[in-house]
Amino acid sequence: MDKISIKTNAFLYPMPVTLVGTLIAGRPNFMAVGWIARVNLDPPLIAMGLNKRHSTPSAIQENQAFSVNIPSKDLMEATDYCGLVSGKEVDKSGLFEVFYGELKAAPLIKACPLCLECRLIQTITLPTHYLFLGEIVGAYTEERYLTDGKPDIRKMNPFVLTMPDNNYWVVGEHAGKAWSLGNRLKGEGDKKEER
Amino acid sequence: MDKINIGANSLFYPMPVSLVGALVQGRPNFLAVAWVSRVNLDPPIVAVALNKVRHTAVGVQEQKTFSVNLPGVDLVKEVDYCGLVSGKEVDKSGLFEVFYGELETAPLIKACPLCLECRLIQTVTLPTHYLFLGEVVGAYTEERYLTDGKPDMEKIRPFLFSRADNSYWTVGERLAKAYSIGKQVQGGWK
Repeated sequence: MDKISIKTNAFLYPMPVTLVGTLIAGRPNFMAVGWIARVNLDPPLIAMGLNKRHSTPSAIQENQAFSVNIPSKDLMEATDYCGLVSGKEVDKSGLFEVFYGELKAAPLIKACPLCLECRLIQTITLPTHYLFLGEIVGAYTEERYLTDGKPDIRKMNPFVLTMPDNNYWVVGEHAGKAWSLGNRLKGEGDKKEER
Repeated sequence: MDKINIGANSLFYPMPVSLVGALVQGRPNFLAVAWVSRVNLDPPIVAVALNKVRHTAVGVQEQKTFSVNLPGVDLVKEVDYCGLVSGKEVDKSGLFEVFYGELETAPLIKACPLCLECRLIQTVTLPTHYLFLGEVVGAYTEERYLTDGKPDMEKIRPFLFSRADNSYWTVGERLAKAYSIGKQVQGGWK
């Protein structure tokens, strides 16, 4: 079938769903963020794009720290709420029980199965967004989310977001092992190489 | 239950799966990339992080263009293959039928439901990776992936990657509408 050109405002989906935490005037504030990715292996760095209009960016710059919390699907309503209301208008500090790791300005959400505390290392100013690069200095979970010492996606129950249709989805079926499935094509690739 | 520290390098969440394409020495090469995200609204800018040792990184820097192709789950083997073998050793140019949009050096994969062509606008050099920022100058799909003119996830069938278990996962049931379900919390929470 023929390819058609669509508007360039296309999204990379499915996106992870995270709650980014900062302190605003000394109070924990949380924002829902989907434009986020790991970007460096060693040290572990993540990058996230935040609209300049939000209240979280200035707090990150002030504190030089932030947290990234991965909620399970039972926190979907609260997560969506954090994306709907601004910390400028509503005090979101009572929404979650928080704890702190090494960084005292990166509030971590106790109810989230995975919590990362990050030190800001670089800010790239883009036209509508800031791209914040943070080094992960601590990562926290609970025994109940692990299987054989490793985070278990079935126990953590994260969910994903797709845009522009604005839907949340659960993680579905196991679709194969990475760095393994593709071995089956290796023969074909080699044949192509010979041709 | 008590929180435990699991080490800073254990970042885990479901990541999108993409195939980043570039022309390396004149031949299309594709790499499986999960470290990819949209980062700016207007103009649309995406960021992709590639290990400096990657063959694709050479092509991105040479041509100042790249593509980001989103595969459906039927391409999971091909995607994994693109992550297993390096373009330094194997010519991956015959793996997919390619086409080109406005940029003549960003090979797009015909078999992928969504293809973005990007012009490199900035390179951030990190310790082990390059973070390439690209402006999306063209986006392509097919009528069969749309419902009422919009990309339909149930037709596109994208999939996820989880680093904790080195596994690919399908997208499951739809839970709720974003920017909507949270309204139930409003007012009633405090």
